[in-house]
Amino acid sequence: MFGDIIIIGGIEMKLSEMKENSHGTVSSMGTDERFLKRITSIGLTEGARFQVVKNDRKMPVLVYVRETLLALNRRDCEMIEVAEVKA
Amino acid sequence: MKCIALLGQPNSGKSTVFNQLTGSRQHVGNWPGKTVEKKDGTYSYNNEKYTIVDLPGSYGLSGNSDEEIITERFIKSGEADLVCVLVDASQLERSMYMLADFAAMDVPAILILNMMDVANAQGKKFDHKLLEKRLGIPVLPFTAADGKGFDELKKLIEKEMSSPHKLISVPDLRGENAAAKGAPTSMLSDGKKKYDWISSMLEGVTQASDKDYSLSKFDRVLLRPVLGKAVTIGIILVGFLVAMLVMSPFMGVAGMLPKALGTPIADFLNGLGVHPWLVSVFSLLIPNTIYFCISMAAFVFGVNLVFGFLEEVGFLARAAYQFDGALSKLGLQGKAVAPILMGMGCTIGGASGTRVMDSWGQKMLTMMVVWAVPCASIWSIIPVVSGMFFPAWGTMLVCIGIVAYIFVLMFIVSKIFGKKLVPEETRSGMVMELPPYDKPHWRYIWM
Repeated sequence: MFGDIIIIGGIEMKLSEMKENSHGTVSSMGTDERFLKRITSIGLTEGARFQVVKNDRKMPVLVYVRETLLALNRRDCEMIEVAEVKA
Repeated sequence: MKCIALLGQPNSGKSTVFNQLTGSRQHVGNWPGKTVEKKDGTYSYNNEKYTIVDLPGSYGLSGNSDEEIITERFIKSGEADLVCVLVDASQLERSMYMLADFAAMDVPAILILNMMDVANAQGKKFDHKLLEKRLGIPVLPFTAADGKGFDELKKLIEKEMSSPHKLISVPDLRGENAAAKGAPTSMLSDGKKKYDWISSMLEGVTQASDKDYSLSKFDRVLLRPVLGKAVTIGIILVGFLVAMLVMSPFMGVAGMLPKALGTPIADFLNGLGVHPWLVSVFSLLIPNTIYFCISMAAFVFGVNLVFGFLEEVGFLARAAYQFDGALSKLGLQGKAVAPILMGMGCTIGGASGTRVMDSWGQKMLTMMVVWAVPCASIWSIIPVVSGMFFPAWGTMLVCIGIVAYIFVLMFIVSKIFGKKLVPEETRSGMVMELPPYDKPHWRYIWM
């Protein structure tokens, strides 16, 4: 569905650290059951490909995944591990 | 009487379908024992009467929210003869998560592939016959917003009532034993399996867009850290002005009541020798009270209209994004911005607006904070009373002071009640969709 994906050096980082307009895939989302239920049903899952649309200081991170624009609070974004990919 | 249930995620067009089918023949109440709104209605087709239940919108069925529990319970009860599952063709993969959760239930269903107008505008094509073959239930491409195609829908529903179909393919969640259900790893792998199933169903049916997402021109302004907040507050203020504009004709007409009725009633009663105090009650107090009530009701109506419009369009979600930081200092989420704004029109409206909050504790805390927000009646009294004691500039200061005090009060309320109602451990941060901007459907805001 997405064509060729090049993974940059396997660098893992937190979702909250990603730059605006970068792309990535989700590596892990922590173990908080309540959070996992909410985040899964709204479209973000392990291995999902996403684009960071906005990441302003102190504001929720805006992420585009499965054709949905999501606003995710920063605290939870610190728990989501991602791998950056080049589009 | 045959019963149909409407199932789908938020923004999938359920309300539009429900309103188009039932018109005014609908009834709003509460699900027993819960504070979730229940909407049901009826329509007739070919001399048959059908009941429709608009199930609460949620993203899935496996969560713990009241909405999801109610929905699952209703479907399992078998009260519905047919479940119409709505999905958004422009966000199809994610939209089908509800279907993936529903698949576990063995109930006759049809799939309404809604919002085809939006999807076609994006250049998407669908092989709905292929999807129909894979799922085993009828798939109806649809555009609820344009009001057409409902005859075809009613015909399909009628057909399915006599020869129903059930899903022939369901996500394979085997391998998770009952004891592990609900454990984090099970939730993760369940979710993955559901999306794997969705991908397999959609293989060859449609192609998701490869392009990078870019913000719409509205969002480019509305989501900016400083300018965005200013514009957001500006739009909200304009909203209140519009509400007042809506109110003014009613106020004008109602204002004629005391003038027109005051003297005739007074003359009539005085002629009967009624006590002067009673005369003033009937000639002054009651007409003026009626005038006041009508004006306030008109303002509340105006506020509901304006903020209903802003919610339909998608603006409130952007406002929630902007104020999430400030509201989280009160222990609330950005979503609380809607009830708080509604509370400025009518506290009751604000309280009912708390239905958008995620948990009971959040609902309660938001309601308490909403009480601190002055409603329309208070807004009208403050300038009048302060005008009686202070000169014009003094009145301004009083108004500003009271507004500032509101924030202090909200803060105090949240500190007192926050720990008990929304304890730190359960405080969940915003996980919210910013829906694409949508043309508002005026008829439904009206309702």
